[in-house]
Amino acid sequence: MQHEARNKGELCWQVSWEGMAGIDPQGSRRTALAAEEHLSSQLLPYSDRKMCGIALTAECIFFVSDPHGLYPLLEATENNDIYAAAWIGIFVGFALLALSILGIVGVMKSSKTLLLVYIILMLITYAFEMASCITAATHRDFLTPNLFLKQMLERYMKSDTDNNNDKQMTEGVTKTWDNLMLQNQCCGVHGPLDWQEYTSAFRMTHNDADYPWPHNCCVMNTRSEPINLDGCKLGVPGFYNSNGCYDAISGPLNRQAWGVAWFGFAILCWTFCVLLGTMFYWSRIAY
Amino acid sequence: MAWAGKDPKDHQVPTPPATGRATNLQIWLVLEQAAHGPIQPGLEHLQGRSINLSGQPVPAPHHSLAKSKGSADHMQQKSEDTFSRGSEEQHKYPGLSWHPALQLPTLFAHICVQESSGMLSHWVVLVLCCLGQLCADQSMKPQLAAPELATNNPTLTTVALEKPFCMFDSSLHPNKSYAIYLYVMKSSASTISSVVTDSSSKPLDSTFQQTHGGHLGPYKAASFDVPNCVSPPRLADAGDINKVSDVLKQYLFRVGDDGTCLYDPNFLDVCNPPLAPDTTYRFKYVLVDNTEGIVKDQTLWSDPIKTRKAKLPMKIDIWPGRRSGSMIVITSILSVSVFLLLAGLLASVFSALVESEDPSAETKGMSETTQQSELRPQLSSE
Repeated sequence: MQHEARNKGELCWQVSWEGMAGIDPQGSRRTALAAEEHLSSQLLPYSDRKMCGIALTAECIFFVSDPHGLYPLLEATENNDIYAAAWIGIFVGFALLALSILGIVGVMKSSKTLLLVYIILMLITYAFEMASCITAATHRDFLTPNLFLKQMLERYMKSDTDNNNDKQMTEGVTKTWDNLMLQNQCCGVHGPLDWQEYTSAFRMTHNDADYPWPHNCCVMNTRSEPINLDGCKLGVPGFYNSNGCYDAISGPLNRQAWGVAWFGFAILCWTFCVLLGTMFYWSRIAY
Repeated sequence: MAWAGKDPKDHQVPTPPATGRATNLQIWLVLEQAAHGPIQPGLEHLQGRSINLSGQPVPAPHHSLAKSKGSADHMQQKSEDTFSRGSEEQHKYPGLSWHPALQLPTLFAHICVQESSGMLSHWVVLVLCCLGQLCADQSMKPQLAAPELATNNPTLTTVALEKPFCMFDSSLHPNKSYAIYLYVMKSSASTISSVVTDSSSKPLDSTFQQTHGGHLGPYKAASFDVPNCVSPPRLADAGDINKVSDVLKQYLFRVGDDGTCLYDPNFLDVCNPPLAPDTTYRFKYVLVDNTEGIVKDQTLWSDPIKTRKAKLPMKIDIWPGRRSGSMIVITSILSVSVFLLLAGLLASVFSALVESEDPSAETKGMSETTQQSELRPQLSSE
């Protein structure tokens, strides 16, 4: 009765608050309507988070699937944490999806325990996602040209491998570099002179007179043979690839690292606000 | 070019110290003259030295590949079209830079031959000719192949040298067959001897193993035909897939090309094994008459050419250096936000506990809200 004279906005807020706190259990139709309006506006952040969760999962699945085939290079450097960050991102995305449903249910039922569970689980998910972002950003910094150069020189076509793990990594590196050089028409990290300026595992088994650089650096015909081997060996322009492969490596890896790190960061900023609101709301459901 | 032994007989020149070559007559004479006169810049080091070479002054090879040559019979006719020939060649090798000064020696050469048939005073002629020859004398050495063509040169174990185009043309007799031998020697103080002929003017037959890879003395690395001076290969053709093999074969020779001949017991030809890395070598071309088997002419030893040195990959520094700004932003902001969330959680749990422990707070809360709701209509009515 006292509510009737008030303006609708205040009514809405006041009544729904009382309604949810259980103070006025009888609830007229107006109260119910106002409560519903308030509910729907409160549910919006939770459904937004569903979308974010799905997007994060999709993005991280794309990165983990390694469309450019660069994973063996990182595995051999023992620096593959940006892939770990992407894996965490997949599971965080699923968790966000599930928890947002839980949140919607909790708000609709205005259940204190459900919301508490929701808050705690969201905090755990928040921590994981934070770990993923920081890992991706930090390990991106380690991917310098010198890292790939050293690994290429030490592992490409290495013939005497110590154990199975070494052999597997060597094969991965060799195959990846062969594909890189063929598909991107490039040679070495900075250029073909990398093979001349440094000794390498390749140089141990291939002499300089016949292989100043690997034959994959030569311009190939359709049958994957060098069009002119002498021209390639001498470095005649047009018969060998003189540009380096670093751009072809760092481009996809940068996109992956920055994609995981910054998208995760954006999601976390949004989640931070929603979580604070939820905690505040939960603290108000005091009975 | 007709320096070879013909002209000196027409002129009366004093006998020089015996060098064994008729062409040196003129050169000695002019050197004496030049010693008292102005010398072209850069040639002071040649003053007073005997040059036991004959041959035509040729501009540095990476500027041009051909000079109008030929036997003495054609010389006079060709001298008229020197200028036109020069511009012809310029069109033949587009992209190669043509130093105008280097065309002068050939000019001088032609004028010399034309005029030495007796028109002008032979002193003037000889001065001109010698100065012209001295200009180009620095190129009578084996040169590295053009860097525009062979970009990877020298490598760790190979060196690609330009073949001696037109360097020996004055010594060539039309009816005889000749071969060119390439000798390789390490450039060090402990090299015992750098002579490539034995006492009877026959070329040395040393191998890589005998000289310990050129350490004790020069070894023979190759033997090939005299390159065609009249129609040299066009470097512009090197872009064509079909012609590039021929162009490379005719234009340059790769020392150190054959990695297997040292270990092959059946190998009978001249072995050209890979050179040592990080070592300085010198090269020399020698013209040999096939029938008599004696050395007819030779170039100077080339400038020292050093093969590449390879560094160890374990010395590559992989430290990434400074942290990127993005990483610092992400880490700091996220850490602060986690801290705030935890604080918020604790505060709300704490406040919930406080409220639940204190039952009077509930009724207080109820009465407060009813008071507020009573207050509000009063306020709104005001």
